[in-house]
Amino acid sequence: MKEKPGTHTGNRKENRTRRQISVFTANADFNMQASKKMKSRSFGKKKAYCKKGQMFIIAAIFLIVGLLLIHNLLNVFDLFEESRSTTTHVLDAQLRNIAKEYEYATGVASLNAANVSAMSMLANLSQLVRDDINSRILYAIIFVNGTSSNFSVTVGNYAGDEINVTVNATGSTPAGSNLLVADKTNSTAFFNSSAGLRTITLAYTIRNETLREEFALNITSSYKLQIFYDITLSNSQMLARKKVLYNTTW
Amino acid sequence: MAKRKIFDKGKNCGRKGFVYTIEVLLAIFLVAVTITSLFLQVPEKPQGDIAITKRLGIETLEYLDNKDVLRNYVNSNDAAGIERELDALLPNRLNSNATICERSCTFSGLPVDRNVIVADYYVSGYRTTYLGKKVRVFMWSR
Repeated sequence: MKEKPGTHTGNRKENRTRRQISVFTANADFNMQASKKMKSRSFGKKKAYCKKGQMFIIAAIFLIVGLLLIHNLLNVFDLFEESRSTTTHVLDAQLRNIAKEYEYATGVASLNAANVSAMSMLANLSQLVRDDINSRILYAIIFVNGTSSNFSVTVGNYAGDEINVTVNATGSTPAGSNLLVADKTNSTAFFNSSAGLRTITLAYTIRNETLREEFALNITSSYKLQIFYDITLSNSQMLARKKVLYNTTW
Repeated sequence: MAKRKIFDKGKNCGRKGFVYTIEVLLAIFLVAVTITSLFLQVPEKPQGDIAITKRLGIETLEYLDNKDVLRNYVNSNDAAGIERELDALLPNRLNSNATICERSCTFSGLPVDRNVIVADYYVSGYRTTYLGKKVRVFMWSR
């Protein structure tokens, strides 16, 4: 390769980077060659520069295609949330209805032969609900005889599995009683007591889970019907649960 | 000569900058038009309508219960009366029928070519009488 005057010595590689700018001042040939090189370099830069400019349009096209492909998916989250919200409201409305009917039935029972009526009414209502809705219901009916101050505790099990219930009562004889209640049945424990404030405790195990409920019972000379119920409604997505203690005195 | 080349290059830069700006603006315009046209229409939600209709049915019956009319109809086994009340309360886009039953509910005359949504409402008693019944409402779009 012919060496040109004024070129830098030391690096004689044929491929030079475009960033090398040589300044040729002495020779006209050098000026001509330099101008040719500058033109080729500027033309290459122009080419590269033009390519960068078109990238905006290409990026926009990619963005548009992506939006077209996924725009249906962007609404799916809203659909799921609305469906879940409405399902929650439906479960809540059903639970309100059922809980209200348990109270109404207790009130009706207090106007009839309370203890016996309450047992049969609540059993019938629980069966009606279990036929239609995926539900677990547990209730306890406490009937206080105002004349003798004795009381009875009836446990109704519509929870889908057999339960072993221990009923304890303070200031009463016996102090506690054990009941084995099969599904869709009820069982009663009797207690002798006197006037005063008593604490009733229900401890039961269902599906390897131990639960405990405690409530106060004020024994006076009045007849009293106290009902505790625990209702759980569920579907494939969620469940709703309500526990209520309701009493009526006459 | 070199100065002239540099001067010419400066003119080209100005033209190139104008073209780039046009390209960017065009790109932004295309994306904006696409987004606007895609999200301008509200999509249909067929699956959500079933849960909404069921909720509507249950809450309408709850309203009738709170108004102290539902239990009277159930006590007198007047399903037609309940249907009249529902026709007045439910939206015009829905047809409905009601039945009063205990354990098993049967009803004929439902459309076979539409989705029929069922809502149940339990009624345990009326005043001093235990009823132990439920009101089943069938709803479908017209």
